[in-house]
Amino acid sequence: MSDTGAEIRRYKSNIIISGRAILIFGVWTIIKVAMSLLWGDDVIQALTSDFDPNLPEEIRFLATIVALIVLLLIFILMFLIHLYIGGSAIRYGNSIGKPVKKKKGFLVAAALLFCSVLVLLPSYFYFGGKWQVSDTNIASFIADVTLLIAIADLFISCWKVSKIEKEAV
Amino acid sequence: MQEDFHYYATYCAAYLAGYTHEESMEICYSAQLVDHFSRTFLSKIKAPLNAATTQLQLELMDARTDIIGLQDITRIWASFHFLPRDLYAEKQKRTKRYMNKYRLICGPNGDLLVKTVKLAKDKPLQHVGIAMHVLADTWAHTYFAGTPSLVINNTDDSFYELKEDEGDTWKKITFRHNPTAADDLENGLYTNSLHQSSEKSIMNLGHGRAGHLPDYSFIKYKYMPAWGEYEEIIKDNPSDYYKAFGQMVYALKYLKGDSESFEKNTYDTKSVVPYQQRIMSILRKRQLVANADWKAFGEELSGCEIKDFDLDKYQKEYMEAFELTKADTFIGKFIAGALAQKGMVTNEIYKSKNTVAGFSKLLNLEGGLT
Repeated sequence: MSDTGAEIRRYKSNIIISGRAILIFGVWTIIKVAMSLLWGDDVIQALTSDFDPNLPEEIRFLATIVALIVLLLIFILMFLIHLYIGGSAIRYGNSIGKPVKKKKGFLVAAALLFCSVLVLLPSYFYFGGKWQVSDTNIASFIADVTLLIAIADLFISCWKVSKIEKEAV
Repeated sequence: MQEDFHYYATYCAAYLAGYTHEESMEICYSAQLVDHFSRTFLSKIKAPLNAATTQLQLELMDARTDIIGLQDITRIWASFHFLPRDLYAEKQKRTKRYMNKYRLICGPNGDLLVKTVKLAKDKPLQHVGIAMHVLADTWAHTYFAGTPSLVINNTDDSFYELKEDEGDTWKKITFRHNPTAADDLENGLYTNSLHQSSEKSIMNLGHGRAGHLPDYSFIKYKYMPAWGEYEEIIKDNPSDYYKAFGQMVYALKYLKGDSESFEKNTYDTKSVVPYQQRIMSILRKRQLVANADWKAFGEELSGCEIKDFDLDKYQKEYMEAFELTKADTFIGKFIAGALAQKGMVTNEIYKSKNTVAGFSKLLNLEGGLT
């Protein structure tokens, strides 16, 4: 019984830590965007490179603003997804061992996040038909791999806890 | 443990073991002096600094935590306050570096305890007092190590106190990091050291992460130590302190010569049982310090007044003595006992191929371990 208790506590701790890691990655996403906008050279140019050069200056300016707003909304959405998954994981972890209903819907969102990050990983090094390896790409790649590990650990720990609780019943 | 047990309870144990009032006073004074014999104190009385049996908070703040500093810290704390239980303990899938610290975990009834008590045999009463301090602390400081180590001494915030008067429920303990505020027993607010993620931080020395809980005789609590792999440890202080008292009486009788041997896991229940109810009522009383209760008990036993502990009591004698006669003073004898205890424990740790407490001059001179 004490072994089971120790196991449950171990996986509970894993779930909470993974939840915190996912939250921190969400914050990191926002910081990354802010840094590239403030100090990155090519962001605005990359956004407007496909615009028709014959467009009037006012229209180009308005289109640039709209493009920036859409980009920011996308990253805020990503942050909110991280917040939802991380916060829900922490709540789920804290509710283990207590007689409360445990909501596992966040695992679906976590699975979607896992797949999207996994699919986009190669694009750090091969994008638009050409290879690009730089120190920032490598750092971002490692950060995303860490995120994948955190999500995987979250899944495994949730599965283990369910298994132990079923065996206990 | 605190002054209530190291000073007054040790007096009671010594008297029950058959020592006179004066002898009991010397023993209990020496036991309490272990908690005050810092380098600051030794500098003041111009005594050898390597005889230190404790380190003040201010000294620890300035202490080095490189390899030399850690060895110095470990030699003091492992020798006098966190005597290792099993220097040859085994644990699967752990590195040598981890095991060196794991093997320093303190606990009662270890081989080193037997060596500590036997070391004081046929020695002055100051040595006896030191041995009693070490013995008592093996019960209070169980499961912590006398070396700064996050992986051994860290805990999380899941501390729960058993409230027997509330139907045996476990009530969560709240820790705060306010060293100037006294622990609030009524509301379950206690002070502990801050979490430091550095393995060798001073905050991870001994039972700092558990605050003063191990030193309160009344409390029964459960928590998860870092070395425990998520197992919950239940610490029953009233029961442990009672055993510590019984073992002290047994050890003191051996040191007095009334008993032929000192064995592990043995307690003088015969002498202690008549006073069990009284002792347990003191131990279980919910209070920060139990000085008054133990003092009253001791004075009832002996019929003599137990003077309060006075750190200045023997200083003048030592400072005014000639060099050649310093060793015969009270503090001189205490220094000899402290050096003997520290040397013995350091030797034993070194013999177990563990260099966390440093090298042993004795063994190197004999050409033993390299």
